[in-house]
Amino acid sequence: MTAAAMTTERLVVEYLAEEGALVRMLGVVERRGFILRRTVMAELPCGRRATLALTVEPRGPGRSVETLARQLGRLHGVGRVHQETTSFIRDKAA
Amino acid sequence: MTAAIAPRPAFADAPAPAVAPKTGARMVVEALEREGVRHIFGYPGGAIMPVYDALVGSRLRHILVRHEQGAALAADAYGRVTGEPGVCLATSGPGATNLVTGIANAFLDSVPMVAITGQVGTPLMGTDAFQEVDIFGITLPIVKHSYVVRDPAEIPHIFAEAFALARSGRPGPVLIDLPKDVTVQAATVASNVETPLFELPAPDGDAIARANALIAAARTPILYFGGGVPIARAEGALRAFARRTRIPSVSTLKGLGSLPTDAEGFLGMMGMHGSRAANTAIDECDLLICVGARFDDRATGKIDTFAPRARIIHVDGDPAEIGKLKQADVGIAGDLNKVLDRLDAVPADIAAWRARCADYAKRWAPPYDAPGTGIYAPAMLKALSEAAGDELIVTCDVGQHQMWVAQHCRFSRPQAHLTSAGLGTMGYGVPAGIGALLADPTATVVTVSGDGSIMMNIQELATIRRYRLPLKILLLDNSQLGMVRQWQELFFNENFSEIDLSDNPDFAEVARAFGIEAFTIDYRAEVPGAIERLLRTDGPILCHARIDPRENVWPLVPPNKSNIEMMEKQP
Repeated sequence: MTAAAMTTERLVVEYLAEEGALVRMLGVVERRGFILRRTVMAELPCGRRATLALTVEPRGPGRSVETLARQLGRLHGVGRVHQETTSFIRDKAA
Repeated sequence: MTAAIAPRPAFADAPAPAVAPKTGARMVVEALEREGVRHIFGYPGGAIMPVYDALVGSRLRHILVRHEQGAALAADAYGRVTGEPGVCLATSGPGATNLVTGIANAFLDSVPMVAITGQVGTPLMGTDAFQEVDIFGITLPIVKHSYVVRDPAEIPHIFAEAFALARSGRPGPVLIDLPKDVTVQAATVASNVETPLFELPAPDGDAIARANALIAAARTPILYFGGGVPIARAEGALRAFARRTRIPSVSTLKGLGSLPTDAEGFLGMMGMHGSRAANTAIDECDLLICVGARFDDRATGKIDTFAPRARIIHVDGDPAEIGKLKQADVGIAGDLNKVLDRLDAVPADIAAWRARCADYAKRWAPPYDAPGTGIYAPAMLKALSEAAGDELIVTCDVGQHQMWVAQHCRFSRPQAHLTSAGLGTMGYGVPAGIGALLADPTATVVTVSGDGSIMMNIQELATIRRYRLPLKILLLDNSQLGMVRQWQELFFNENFSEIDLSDNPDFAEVARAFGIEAFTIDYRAEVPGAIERLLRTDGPILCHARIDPRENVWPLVPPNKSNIEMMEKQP
């Protein structure tokens, strides 16, 4: 086994919890070339508004999380997208 | 960071006056009328029957196609010509899935569209009922947004929002799935409907200033424009910018017509089948001003070597396109009209550069003197577009003829060139011709098709006949899948595999069987008469032109190569 340093990004998305919203957002993450490592969903007190925290990792070079954030941001029903950066060590088969 | 998000609409909180109950289907028809819809392209079936029932007596003109894909593609062309959402309508299950290619076509080319599908009743949804399919789920990756209507009272609001979304910002298709019980039930709704507004962000003033500084300092700039220009109806602003700066220009496939073909400094289409002048100028430029284009792989070739010496200004209506494939020195998101008007700097001295580009254009102009007596398609298309004049709209299918149209036809406005650029949908041409004619009955609409493509939606000849649409069809028949054959010849060691269509039907006879006038030509000497007959005939007509099956599209950038490594026709 070798260890490879991988960068993951955490995106926090504020959105309206309407029919299909979650599938729509997760579909964008997958189709745009990111691996979904972790999700946390919370409903805000006002009911229809919710937040989704996504920890994502690009599948390869040339995948920009800034672009992904904008692609999520242009979905109808998405309010704001905040980006945070983290790093972790992933085991990788030799 | 926080991504730029367009503002969301605000709806009135105060209750509006109520009116008498109406069925969901009646509300659908009224919502379409309220949006100013004049034509709907569709095909009835079980789950959508309540809507068809409500259509009777409405102000909406329904165009009955012969396959739902034809409905979606006609609606796509209608949207491109009018700038307003084209509307298509189908039943659940296979009716809905048959729309999918047309919806994807609109999505890839950012075309405003509202697709309406019937659905099984809500109690049956999720039970694998007859003609039930999750069209909402199937289309998630290819729509700008989508709705399943669960309550008839939601219909006015959802339709208003769907149309606003489809036409605003970067346009696209919006799907509305209508369960049958929702269209049958009656509800009482408010009589007034708020029209939501979705506005693009205001351009960043600092970015505009930095872009102006780059333009002022440039010595060999190139203006590179694409489909975002016609989408934003920004051709006027683009033309003013080009006149003001006199910067030489190139176009993507979708941008063609945004500047007239014969505009000063225009070097033609760039990219895989672009002109050598356009690709060479990009390679040599020190500043690339990209307006409404997205660095698509067909346009850039190997992107690492695209415009290698250039600083880049990227202007786009969609913030997510900036920096997606090519990092820009200055990125400006916003309404192209507003941005172009504020890019008011002028390069100090580019006379020598303009002269060099003009020399490239002259030196590498395409030849039209092909040997032999057979029909030379590029020359015929050039002559046809020149004879048709400024009223021309060409709708293309996909393949060699599509590239010949882009390379050789004269366009004076972007709505004159309707082509399936992103998805590359064989079968687009004839339904698109139907949509274009209904959108602009004063236009001279010519569909240029190939013998492979036309068979994909040939049933729509019946629609042309039914509505007596004066569509002129030029069918370039090489009895092969020509573009595939060309690639097999050049990149697969002439290992020709499944490209032979020599058992095609007699296309003139097929057209006549549909009640459409048709004729066949084989020789170059027949071309002038054929063009005159096509343009002179009042009703629909098909010209079946048999061409040399060995003819290729030139130039060609091989896969994974730089645009300047383009191949040329060998003498």
